[in-house]
Amino acid sequence: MNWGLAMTEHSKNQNAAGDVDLDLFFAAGREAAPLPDPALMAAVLSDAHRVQADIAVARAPQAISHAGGEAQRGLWAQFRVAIGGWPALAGLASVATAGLWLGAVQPVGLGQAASLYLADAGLYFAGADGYLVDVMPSFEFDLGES
Amino acid sequence: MPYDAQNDAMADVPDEALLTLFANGDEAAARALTVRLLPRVLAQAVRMLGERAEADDVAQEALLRLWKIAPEWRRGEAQVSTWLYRVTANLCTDRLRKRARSAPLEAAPEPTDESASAAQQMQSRSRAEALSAALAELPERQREAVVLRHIEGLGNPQIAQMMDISAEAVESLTARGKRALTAILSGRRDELGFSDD
Repeated sequence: MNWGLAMTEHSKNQNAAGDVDLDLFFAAGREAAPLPDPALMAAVLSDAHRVQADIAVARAPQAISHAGGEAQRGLWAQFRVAIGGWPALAGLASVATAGLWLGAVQPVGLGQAASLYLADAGLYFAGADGYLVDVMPSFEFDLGES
Repeated sequence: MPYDAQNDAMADVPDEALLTLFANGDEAAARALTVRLLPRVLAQAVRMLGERAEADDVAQEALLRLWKIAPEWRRGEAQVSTWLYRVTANLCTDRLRKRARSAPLEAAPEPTDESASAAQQMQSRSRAEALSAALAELPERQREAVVLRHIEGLGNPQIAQMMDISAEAVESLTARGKRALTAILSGRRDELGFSDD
């Protein structure tokens, strides 16, 4: 098959030694580099945009996890609102502090107050087979009858 | 035209930076990378496969793989162009192997009627077609090395990195490839219209 070279061009494919001049062919190969047609360009760009969308979706869970942190903080806020807001929270803190104080400080006279209360209520009287036990002797809750 | 203007604006942006922008959803980076890389990939595929339709498929697939790896791309580990050449070469090799299995007697694409009409085309076109046919007859490693060295104009160190061989091995492959090309093209003197002197 003749590739369409005119006879006058034959020698131009050869070097001085009569061998094939590859550099000519390489140069022709570079010149004849194919260009992507618009359809291929559009297909590649379409792939690119689809993958970009997939990447955005794949990265979305990270954003959701950040939003989860907000939701956790939101639970605390919801609790605060549920008990009545900051004033109620302050009251709760005061009660807790008072409880802590009562627990930490020795309640002097508590035993006497208890016996008076029990006597007034008729739950404690002389001769009764009742017996109060003081589990904390240091508090002087030492009433006892046999 | 805004399209060209955007690409001009990104002309100096390195491939890796564009890939990072791409992964962050920048559509202009997608266009810039496509315009920059697709012609190179397509040219490599056409030269390795000698067939345009298959080369189009390979080029699209190679770039699709680049898009997909973009979010995990580790900067500084490899050049985008090197990675892409290797992926394209592997895809072409797969195609050539399948082609060889399905049609072992048609390993080398013959000039078609289309090339017969090349009689009216430019001389360089005829040479390019002859070169393409001759390249298709080379062993794949020789063909790859010759194309990268003498068509793409890459240096031996970069080719060595792309082909995962030493620079000396690249030199050896290209030297043997060139000798084989010379022999093939010389053996087609009649086809090429050489005088028989």
